[in-house]
Amino acid sequence: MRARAVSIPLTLLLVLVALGFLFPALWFLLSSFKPGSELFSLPLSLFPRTWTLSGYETAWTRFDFWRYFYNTGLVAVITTALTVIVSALTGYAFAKFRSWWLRAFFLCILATTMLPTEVIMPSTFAIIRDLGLYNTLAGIIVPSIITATGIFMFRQYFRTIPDELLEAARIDGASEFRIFTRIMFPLARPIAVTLAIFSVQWRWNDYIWPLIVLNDPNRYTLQLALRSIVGADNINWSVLLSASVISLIPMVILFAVFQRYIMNADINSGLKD
Amino acid sequence: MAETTTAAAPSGTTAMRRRTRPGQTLVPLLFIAIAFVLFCVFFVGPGALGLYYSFTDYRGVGSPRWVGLDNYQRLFADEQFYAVLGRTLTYTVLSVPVHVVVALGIALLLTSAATRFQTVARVIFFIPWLISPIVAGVIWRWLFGENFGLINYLFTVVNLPTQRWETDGNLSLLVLILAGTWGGTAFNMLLFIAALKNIPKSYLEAAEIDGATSSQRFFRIVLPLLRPTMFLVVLLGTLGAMKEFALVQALNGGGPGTQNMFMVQYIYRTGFERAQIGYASAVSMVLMGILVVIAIIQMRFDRREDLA
Amino acid sequence: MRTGISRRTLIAGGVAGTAVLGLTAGCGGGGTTSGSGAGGDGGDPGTLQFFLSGDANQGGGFAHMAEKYGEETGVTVEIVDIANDDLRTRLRNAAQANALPALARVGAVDPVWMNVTRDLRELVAEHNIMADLATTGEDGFVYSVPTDVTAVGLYLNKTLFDQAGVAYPTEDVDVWSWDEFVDSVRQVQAATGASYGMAMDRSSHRLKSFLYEFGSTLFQPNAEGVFETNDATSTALEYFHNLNDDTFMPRSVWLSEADGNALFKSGDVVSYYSGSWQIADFAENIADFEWVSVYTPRQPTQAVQYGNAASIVVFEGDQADAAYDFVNWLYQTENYRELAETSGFLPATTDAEITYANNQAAFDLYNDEIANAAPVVGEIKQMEIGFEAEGLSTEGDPLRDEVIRYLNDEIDLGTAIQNVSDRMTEAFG
Repeated sequence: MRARAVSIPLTLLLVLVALGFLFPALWFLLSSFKPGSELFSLPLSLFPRTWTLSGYETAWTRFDFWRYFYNTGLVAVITTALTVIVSALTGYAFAKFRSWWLRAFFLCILATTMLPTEVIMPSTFAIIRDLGLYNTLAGIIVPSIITATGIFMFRQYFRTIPDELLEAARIDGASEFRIFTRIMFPLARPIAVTLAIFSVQWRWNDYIWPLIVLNDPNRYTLQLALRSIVGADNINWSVLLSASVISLIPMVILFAVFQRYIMNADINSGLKD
Repeated sequence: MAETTTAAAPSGTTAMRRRTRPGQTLVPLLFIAIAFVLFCVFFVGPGALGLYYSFTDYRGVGSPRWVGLDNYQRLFADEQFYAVLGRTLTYTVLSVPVHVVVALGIALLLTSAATRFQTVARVIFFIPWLISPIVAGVIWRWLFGENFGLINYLFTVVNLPTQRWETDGNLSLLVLILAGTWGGTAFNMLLFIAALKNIPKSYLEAAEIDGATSSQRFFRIVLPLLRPTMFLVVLLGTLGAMKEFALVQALNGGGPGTQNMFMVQYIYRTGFERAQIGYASAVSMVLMGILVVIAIIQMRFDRREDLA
Repeated sequence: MRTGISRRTLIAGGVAGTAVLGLTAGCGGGGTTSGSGAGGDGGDPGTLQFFLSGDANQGGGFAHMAEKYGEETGVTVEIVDIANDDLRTRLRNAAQANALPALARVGAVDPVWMNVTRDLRELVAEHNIMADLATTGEDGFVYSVPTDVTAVGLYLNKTLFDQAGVAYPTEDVDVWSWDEFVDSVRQVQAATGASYGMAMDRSSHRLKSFLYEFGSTLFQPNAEGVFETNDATSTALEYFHNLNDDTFMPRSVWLSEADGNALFKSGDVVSYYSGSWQIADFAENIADFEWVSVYTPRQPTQAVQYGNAASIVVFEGDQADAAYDFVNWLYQTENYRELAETSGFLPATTDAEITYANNQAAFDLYNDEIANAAPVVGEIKQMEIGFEAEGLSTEGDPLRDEVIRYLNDEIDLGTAIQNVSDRMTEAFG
């Protein structure tokens, strides 16, 4: 019963959809091996007529990728750890406690995603500066900790966990914080991993906060550097494509490693009957 | 004290059922403390300033002059604003269901015991989400460029008339939805996968023993249990679609002309590019108002389902 | 027990909060604001930060000169290459945090920091810098000096023209009118089967040039400060609308931001109305066909749009003297020539004699077009620089935005022209 037979039609469907998704990405990857003169020449071809690494060479010499990987990685890891903790705490409160002000605050948290960045950017900058966070990596980390998505994810997840479990622990005399750290948070591991992947991706691709906060090029993050490829009048496409591919590699590896933690999250067995 | 009022409020039986305990005010307060502080510092302050600017003629430098409701009056008198709002809503209504269905379908295939190549497929579906909008824009133009794009080339090969993917407003909206689905699926897919993995296998096995067909199992068991995640995906997707900007900008600049200009682009075009921070703030506030209303409406559905 | 719960939760919350602050503060530790504060007095000015955009894309001329300056004087100039879209934000924020770099190369002077720039008027006189492109206040205060000039120009796919056997003007004699040009291109299309006749960047900079060539005086304020234009503008815009017919010009470029540069590179477009900055890109990234720069059509006016591509500003502060010295050094004839040759710049000084490694003919043609452009181009440029020096925003692009809507038949020609006038009057009137 467990070892269900492989369904050929379903597998075929999966393969077809995956190919559909792969195709544009593959074109992107293969184009990065084309010389600049071939990128836009007709007829368009999927495979490069002449393979070249010149885009990669230019990108690699032009950007200090190791430094950017380090800076971005540091920011991503610290922010992600804090985001997961704060989101779990807040989402738990939203899911397991009821009051009008919690609901109101939940709406407020959602509202943080509703204003265009430019509207709040100038005044956010003033706050960063007055807190002494200008030109520090902490200045990128602190404002990025709360995310509506992360809090929302934990809220929805904790709601699926039956209240009986909570009540039972309370009757056993466990403190609220202990219930959270020992019972609830471990149960939410798949969401924690999912959010961690999201958060790393957000920080990896973020340029708004680095742009506002950083001044010193030694602290630059990846996207800030990559953006400089797009000039006023022209874009060096072969460098942009190559640099983009390089910048994606760590994320793809990270995902390939961590995705099984979401997949293997078989934790509900003890929950209900 | 606050707790008693809540319990009495018509917020539904769930709140009533819960025992009211003194710790119930302090405890959640502590749980949300960090988020609350960060929210106040990095959102309330700047947001309030934005609200203030919306009543002024602020131009980015110098001191703002109070103009009352002028910006709002100008906004509601601008025909283009309604066109933009309508187009944004159209895009949202069309794209969100597509995003949800595609992401859920893929998540089901990836968690099914009956399919193979799942790990490779997961990585493939994940990659588009990593690609920055500007690069995504050029990839999709290679595909759907109406002058020299691949799709039009394939159309000519099989003797179909070429399509105006860029200069026909509706077709370019379609391309936008496709590109958005391609880029955004990984996010929703991961949420669905985490939720699907959380459904106790025993439920499904029991149903199977009872002779439920697979579609019955999906609609009677899986879908109801996915509701919290569905709500999350739909609400975030709606908010995201209403604020779509980077991808449109990279793909067709809101074109043809201004036909596919969405709200955020309108804010940039009419506000920031012309250094009219006051006006841009006013539009932003209206946008936020619309989004809050959407969120509240969707939250009502969420609550009702909660009680069911 | 209840109190026990709350206290423990309280402590835990406190610990978590402290951890947040501790962690983040720890990783931000040691953050010194680099830039103007770093220098000591007199002797060593410290590292001079030079904010600019797109240097690496343009041959790295400034990086090269900074290195040379370091070798000659021992002063380190650090080039900080910032995305073009971000430069304005970065400088604004730096100004508000009191952390401006020593100098910057900017697109326009920003009211936010224009009161902390050094007067560069002596440089203009000393190095024969084009004074009409320097942002100069009413009192003669020079906020910025141009580093280089860009001009609008026309490229042909020479291979297609040769294949069709159609001639094109190579010298400044009998240069074609727009009618003649369009005819010639259509002949080439007919003979070679090329899909499109011309691509033109979606930019008012290019469109202005087109308008001037039809005798337009563009938009200028009348005695009451209301912006007006002449009939030639209508004629030209109607002509432009007709060119955007999906056979001569692909409509996708102006309507949906298709990339004109990419279309021309495909080899299936006969000509490309763009500008001098493309030369370097084409030299490297076009391999399948030959291209050539030619004189732009005259209907009947010879008037390419040109202007300062970007300008240098020096910020007041500890390092201002050192930064000024660097700029002064940069504009010395020898050094400026080296900069222009490395980056492929059209010179912004009147006495530069520059030998380019490649495509000398194309550069010469541009310089000739600039020198002979109708006076109206310079007058409008003067007007715009005047607004800039008054701190009025010249951002946004009323002309482009309204013409796009006109091309998409969202509004008619009269409305488009009226809207441009209104918006300019509102901004500058």
